[in-house]
Amino acid sequence: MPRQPAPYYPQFERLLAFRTPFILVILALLAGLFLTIDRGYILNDQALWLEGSREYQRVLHEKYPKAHVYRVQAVLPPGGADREEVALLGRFHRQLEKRAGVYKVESAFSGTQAVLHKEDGSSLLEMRRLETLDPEELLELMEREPERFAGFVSPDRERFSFFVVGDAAPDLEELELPYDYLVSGEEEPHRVLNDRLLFGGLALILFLLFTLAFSSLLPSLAAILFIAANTAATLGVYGLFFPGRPSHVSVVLIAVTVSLMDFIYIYYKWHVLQAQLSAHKALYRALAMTFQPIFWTTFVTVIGIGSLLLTDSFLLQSIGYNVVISALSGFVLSFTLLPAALSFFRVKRPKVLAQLSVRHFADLEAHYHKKTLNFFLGATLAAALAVAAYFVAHPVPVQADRNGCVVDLSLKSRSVDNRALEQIAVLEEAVENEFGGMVKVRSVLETVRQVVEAENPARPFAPESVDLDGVAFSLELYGLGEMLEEGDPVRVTLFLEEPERKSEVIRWLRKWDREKNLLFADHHSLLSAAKTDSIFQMMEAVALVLILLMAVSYFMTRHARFSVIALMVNAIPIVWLMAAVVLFRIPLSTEMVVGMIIAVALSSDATMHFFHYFYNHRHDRKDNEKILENAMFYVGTPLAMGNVILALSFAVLLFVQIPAIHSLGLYSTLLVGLSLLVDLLVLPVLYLRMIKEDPNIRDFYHAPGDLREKH
Amino acid sequence: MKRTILLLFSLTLLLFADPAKKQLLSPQETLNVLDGLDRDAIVIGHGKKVVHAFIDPLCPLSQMYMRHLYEHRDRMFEKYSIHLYLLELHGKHSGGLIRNILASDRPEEILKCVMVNHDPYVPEPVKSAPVEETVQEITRAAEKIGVYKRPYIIINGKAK
Repeated sequence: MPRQPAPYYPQFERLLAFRTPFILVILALLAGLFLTIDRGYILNDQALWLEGSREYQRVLHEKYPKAHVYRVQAVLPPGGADREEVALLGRFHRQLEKRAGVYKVESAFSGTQAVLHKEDGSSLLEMRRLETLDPEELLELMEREPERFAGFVSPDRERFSFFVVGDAAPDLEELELPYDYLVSGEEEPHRVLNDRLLFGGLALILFLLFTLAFSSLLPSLAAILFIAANTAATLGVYGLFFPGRPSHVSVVLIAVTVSLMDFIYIYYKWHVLQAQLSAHKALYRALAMTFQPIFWTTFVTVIGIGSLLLTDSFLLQSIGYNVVISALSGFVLSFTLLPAALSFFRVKRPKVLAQLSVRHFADLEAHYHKKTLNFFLGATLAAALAVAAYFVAHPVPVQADRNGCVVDLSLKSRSVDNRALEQIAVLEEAVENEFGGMVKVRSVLETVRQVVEAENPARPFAPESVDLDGVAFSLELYGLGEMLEEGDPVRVTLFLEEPERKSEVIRWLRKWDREKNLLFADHHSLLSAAKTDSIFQMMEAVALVLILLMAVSYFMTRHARFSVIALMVNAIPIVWLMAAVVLFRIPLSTEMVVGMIIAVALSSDATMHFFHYFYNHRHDRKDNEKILENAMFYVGTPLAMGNVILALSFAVLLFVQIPAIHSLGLYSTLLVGLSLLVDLLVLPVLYLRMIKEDPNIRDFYHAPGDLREKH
Repeated sequence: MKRTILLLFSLTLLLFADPAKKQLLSPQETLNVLDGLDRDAIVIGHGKKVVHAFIDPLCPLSQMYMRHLYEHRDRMFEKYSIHLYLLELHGKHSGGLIRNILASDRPEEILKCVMVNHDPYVPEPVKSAPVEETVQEITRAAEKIGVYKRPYIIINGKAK
């Protein structure tokens, strides 16, 4: 059989011939890019989420103000509010209203009360602000109509909530509130991560773990060089295209993750092959063995996660751009800078920490327990079906923001006319039908209804035929005329009894409002809408990665069974995570889906490398144990090392006292760990079961008589 | 016997029944009637929107109405022209006072003194044909419209 020419060998030789100037040029370029990075990494991602959000763009387009809603909850001593305390709280309400930058305050004191005075032959409707009522009267009203005060006053009257709509958090220091109080909805301080500390810490951990795994300092130094080079290239190129745009820390982490595995596969192979070959030959073999899988992994990543470029969200686009740049630069650096740098070194006695366990592991997997595998796959399928059925029947739970009890809406109309009143009435009815008493709607309609019903008690209230001039006069007479004034947006505020259902309410509102008459007016609801959109867009990207993976697996192997295995292996961690989401009612969060993207990116790496190995050794007449042992040695070990190193690095984020970063660390660690288990325990076994042991696949894995000889 | 009881019961009901408490004219007809009363009105405010109100200076609720008008005079007088028609409410015995106010050179000021400031005001008997005519015109217009209470406020021809 004629010997085939070694692929890419001339290019490899050329690279090494000019390795010193080549390295210098690349390092100079990277240093230049590194110097252009003048931004920190944003931890507070609220502004980034809003950029490009559809709902926010509508608010901007209509030139409507975006407000922040803060809840100040006064906690009274046991026993509840009495006359004196109600008077104090009323004064606090008035003080809040007068603060600069406060548009309105909604509380037990903010509503109106219609009083119809009647005497012999005389009658007059009086409209009173609740804040002007005598405390005793207000207490009586709270007793008589508790549902009017739900959301503002706790049933025991020990907690009074004040919802402050304004452009900044109210400064309560100067106000007279002689009780303990809680403020929710405060914006996180716009912190810029101490990037030196975080990335220095991550670099140290990577350094230690690589040193430990390979018993050598060389891989640690090479890894740090590679990661630094790729990070500088990614952020530098991104900065050139989008100057002044900050990057979110999760974007940087994803970008680093997708390229780190390229380094590990190449370095590991070069390292272990030196037990049999010279450093030069080992380097060539390592590159030749990894070129195809790394190419296909890069392809899947660039197309799959790059699909986020098509979204409107600024942050998702930024993830897309960074991942695409990182994957491409990682691919280029893996086959240029890395081999050029490694060619200066050699490993005398290559050692790998996990070397001894490979045989034992392969032995266990070669004699896997079929019933256990069947049970596991059956359970996974059942879980997938149950999750799908649950999400068809129920709204997908999405993590609520910290100020989940209010959704502030603006009507597109800027004047309170009959059409606006009708719209509010229709909305009220729809909300009542959908959510019952869980959501309470407050708007100008409530006051208009009070006026009309007090003046015409026998006539049913019909918003479309209300005499608004008459109502306006009644309100003006009592100093409430600004409620119907033109120019300001007509606001409708929804108070939620179950804040955790806020995202559900927002999604329902967006679906219900087909004519797009409603705008989300408060910062947190806009943020919630943007994040909910992003979660589904990221999940679509994950689905696209899975489909691409199936397509590439088929293209590489020309066999549909590989595609099925690719889908199963990559989907299993996601299915179980979603099952946990449903079972424990964990709301979906953006951090969870970022974790999914990281896990799928890593898992697709593993799939490509394993399949490439199996495909290249399809004619080997070795027994199952030997095939698995080799696969575990050449693919499984670097895969495990890479995943463990990354999982431990992400685990460092668990110690960061910032909720978003903490969650990112938690879900990334969890999903990377899960995907590692599946890649090591399920993928090779599925391969054995579905392909290697299937005698029907002729001339693919079985030379004629192969199995007959063995059994 | 039964018939007698039924008849007595019906008569009792009629005796205590309220008079018709509704506007008798359409909004446009009401405005037509009020157009003819223009010169009899005491006008306060200079806004674009015209509001008509039948009031009794001694009726506490009319006084309350006036008090609130003056309390928010900046906005109210800027936005509305309020045409006040003085109409005695049964039992208030305000006929003399109404005639005095209508006969004065500064009816708005006196009205304010009486209704808002509650200044003691002793009406002097006024015998003036024009004043009497004004009172009669207002009374006739009120009957046509169906004014049954004070203050009786009309906006865009519709009673509140």
